[in-house]
Amino acid sequence: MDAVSVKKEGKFVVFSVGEEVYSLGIEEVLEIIRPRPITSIEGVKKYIEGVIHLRGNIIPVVNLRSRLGLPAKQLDKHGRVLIVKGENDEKIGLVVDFVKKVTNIQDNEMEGTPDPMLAHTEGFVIGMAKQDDQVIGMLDLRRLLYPTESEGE
Amino acid sequence: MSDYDLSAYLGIFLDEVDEQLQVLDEQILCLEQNPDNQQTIQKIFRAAHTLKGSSATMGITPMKEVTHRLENVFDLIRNKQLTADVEVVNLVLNCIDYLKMLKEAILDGTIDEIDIDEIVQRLDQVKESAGVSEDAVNRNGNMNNSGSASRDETWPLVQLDESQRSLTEAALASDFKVLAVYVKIRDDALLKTARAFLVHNNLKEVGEIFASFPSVEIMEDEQKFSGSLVFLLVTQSQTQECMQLVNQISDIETVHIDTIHAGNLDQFCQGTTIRMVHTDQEETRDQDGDEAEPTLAPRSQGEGKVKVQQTIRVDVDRLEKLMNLVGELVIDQTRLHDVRNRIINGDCSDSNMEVFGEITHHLSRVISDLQEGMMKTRMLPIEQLFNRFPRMIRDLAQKIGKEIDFIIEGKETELDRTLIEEIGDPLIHLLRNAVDHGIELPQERVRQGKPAKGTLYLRAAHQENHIVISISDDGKGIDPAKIKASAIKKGIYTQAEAEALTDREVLFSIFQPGFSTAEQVTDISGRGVGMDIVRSHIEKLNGMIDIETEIGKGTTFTVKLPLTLAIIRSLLVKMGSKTFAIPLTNVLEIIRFPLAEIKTIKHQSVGVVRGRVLPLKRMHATLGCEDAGQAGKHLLVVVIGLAEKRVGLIVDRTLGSQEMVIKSLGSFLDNPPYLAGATILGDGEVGLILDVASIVKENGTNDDADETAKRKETQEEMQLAVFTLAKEAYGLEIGQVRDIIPVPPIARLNEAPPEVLGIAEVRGVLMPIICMRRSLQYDEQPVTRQSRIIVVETADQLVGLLVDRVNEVLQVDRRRIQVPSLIQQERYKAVQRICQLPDRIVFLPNLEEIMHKTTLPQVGEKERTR
Repeated sequence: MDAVSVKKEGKFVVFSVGEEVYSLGIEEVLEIIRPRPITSIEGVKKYIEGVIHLRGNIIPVVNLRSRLGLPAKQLDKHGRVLIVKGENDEKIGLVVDFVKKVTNIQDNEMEGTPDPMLAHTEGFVIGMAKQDDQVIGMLDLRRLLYPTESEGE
Repeated sequence: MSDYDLSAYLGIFLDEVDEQLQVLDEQILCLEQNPDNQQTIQKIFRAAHTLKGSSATMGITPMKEVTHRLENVFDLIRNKQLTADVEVVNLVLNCIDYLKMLKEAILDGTIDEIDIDEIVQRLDQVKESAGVSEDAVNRNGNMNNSGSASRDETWPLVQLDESQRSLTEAALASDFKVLAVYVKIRDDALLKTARAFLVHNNLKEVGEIFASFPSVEIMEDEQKFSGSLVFLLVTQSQTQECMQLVNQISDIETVHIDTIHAGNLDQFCQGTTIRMVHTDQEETRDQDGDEAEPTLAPRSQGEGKVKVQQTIRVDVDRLEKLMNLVGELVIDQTRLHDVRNRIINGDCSDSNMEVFGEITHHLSRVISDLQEGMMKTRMLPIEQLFNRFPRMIRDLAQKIGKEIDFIIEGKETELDRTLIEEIGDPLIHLLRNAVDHGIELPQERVRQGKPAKGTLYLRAAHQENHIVISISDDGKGIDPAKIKASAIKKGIYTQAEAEALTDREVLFSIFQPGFSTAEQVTDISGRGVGMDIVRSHIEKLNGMIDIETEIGKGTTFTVKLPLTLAIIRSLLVKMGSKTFAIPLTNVLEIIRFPLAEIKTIKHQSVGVVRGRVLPLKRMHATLGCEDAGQAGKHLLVVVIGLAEKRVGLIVDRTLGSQEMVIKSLGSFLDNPPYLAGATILGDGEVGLILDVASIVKENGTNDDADETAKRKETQEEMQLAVFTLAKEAYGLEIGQVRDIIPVPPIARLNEAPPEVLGIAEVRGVLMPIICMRRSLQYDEQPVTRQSRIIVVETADQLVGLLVDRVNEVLQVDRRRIQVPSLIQQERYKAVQRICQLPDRIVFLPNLEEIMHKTTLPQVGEKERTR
């Protein structure tokens, strides 16, 4: 996890969960799809919502809300699933409330220290960016998907 | 050779290495049995030689070094300067192990880390001990080559005519080189002509070919062309360069290049033919290797593993068939589109619907054919796996001083490639056990009046949709008493528990974790981790394992596996809003169980089904389904079982059975409990596949103790398929029923008896369809959605019976069946027996009577009407 501690400038997918705005590097997001029926699975980590079917593949889906410890909420028509690349090229879905845009974030827009507002995300946010007066939390995908034993349970 | 990307050939090369190592393994074991067999020695020599050649081409030096020395050793053996004694055989086997290690290292990208000095030294020692120095061997090898080569490597006569001569002279005069390129294509190469032209094309890159022997016409004729050819080339390039150009082409056995100059021109004009030249392909390749070691492109340092594209060889016929099926799919798709358009335009006429039905019918047939065809392309002969075993058995037997005849049968049996990989370890375990525990030491065997040499059989065969692999030895067998004692000692059972067990149950306790009877732990087996792993491994593959043993006579382990893992037939059930699939092989029956009869034992709901206690398990909460509680008076229970264990799973609804493609849930989910995978349902949603093994393991009861009760039952009970005709219930014994299907399109027949509606095609088989209503003289009724065809088998053919609907399969007591006395009506003439149930009467028609009355159209007629 050492190498990814600082993000380089480039294109980012910016999305929101509740009032909070986050981003992932464009190379981490394979596609963005509309939500589809999720088949829930019992006995797995609780932020894993279940599995969906995408063109012949079974894809596990993580709910970003519950991963970040936010209260659950029914998705509206803006809800989307980001298909991201996990370990061993496994595809994993990430449910978000709203995908805002794909944008370029420059080096000078990035800040290293996390906003105290986002304290509950300790660990997942590896940097902040400010764009149009909007604070964007930059997520560490690996931290998010593969928590160490003590976290996320 | 610089722009020649060798990595593309790495897969092929590794396949070849595998193949040749296999040959080496097999042949060396033969050699050990029969050290003087020249044929075997030749085969080994050739395998080593091929390996040396190809590894040199790929630039894998360590492998080249080892194989080169191996080849030398066998050259000595071939020339009777060395005998293949145990020591040599062991060394060679050791050497093969090294080669295998090297192969693995190529894949891991760690080839440079392997130290081959030791084996190289030992091989050299063997050679020196035979009193032959390296040079002598080389000379010897070459002499030998020339000896064998002069037999078959004769090139066609080269004779220049006047014009060619003057051309040569002109070329020489203007400082060009004139080369005679002698090429011999391997005898067993296919498409010699094509290769000849490849040589031609390659040479054309560096110069002008002005003559060829034999003539182009002969070369074009695959029959006449022997594979030896000579091109005369005018060029400015170096001889070496030409040599390399030719060597790029595969299946070239020998290349030799002569320079024509003023001095030998006359000779060429008079006609010359050369015999064997010892620049045999591999040696030229060696030179190549030394000059410009070709390296594997992706083998950049530190990058580690080399990715190898896995390849599979598929019979062209099989591919051809698949292609045809795809063709049919396309046609069906066009037709579907067509019908769809018509229906969208509001034409919902019956004919359209019929076409629609017909297409879906055809589609499902094409798809099942396609599925089968595709599955076959994934099938490999089990030989691939079995061939690894003789060596292993030999080593084991030698180590512990046993003599074993290892016999393999049914190597050609095909099964899915993934299964071949999976089943290897359990089989090795069983074989090791047989060698270590099963077969006795020679002295012991002799004392018991058995031949000193034990026999171990490994057999594979197909049985319906399964493959059955059995391992049987003629050793001492398994003694239940000993197992019982050991199991008690290990605390698997208490004394009392053990007493209650049948011999068979005792036998199966060898599959319990931590079990072993071996007095001494050897490094072959006996640690007691093993059989339980074997069993769980086999069960994971949806397979079963069985033991048969007789004390003093031997033991047979039988492993039964499905042919493929990728597609299984499953029963779909609904729990709450979720759909689950249960592999049909594990579904024993589906029963409606009266709510009132549920009992509770130790906080566990159980039901008594036909005298046996069946645990009833409601898994809604565990599987995360909403539980609506129980409506109605009955529970719907799916009885699932594995080996001898049974559980009744309470479900809300059954949705029927379906073929389904198993998809893995992936590593991210980290093996959720009770799930074996997922599948995609008809509506595009995900269905979860239940892991019967884990459910049964936790909740199952042992069924085995009731074996006798079960047998008694079958005598007293029978199952009836109950169907309706004009509101009256009829039944057929389940044994007579082959299939129950929806009504397919029926082709009418002109001259058939009135009862015969026509003929229909059911799963590729033509059969007459009899209307049961007509046959039993009810009023006819049009086919409805509930109408079904019951397929029954008569003496000589299959017949479909059209009935109003099929209700259920009933278990009835034979004693309830009576022969009625006073049935007057005509329709009941065919009914000979009735079954009296508490709430109704089921008539059992006599099929023979019905068939007898009706002259069925025979197959021949059917063919004509088609």
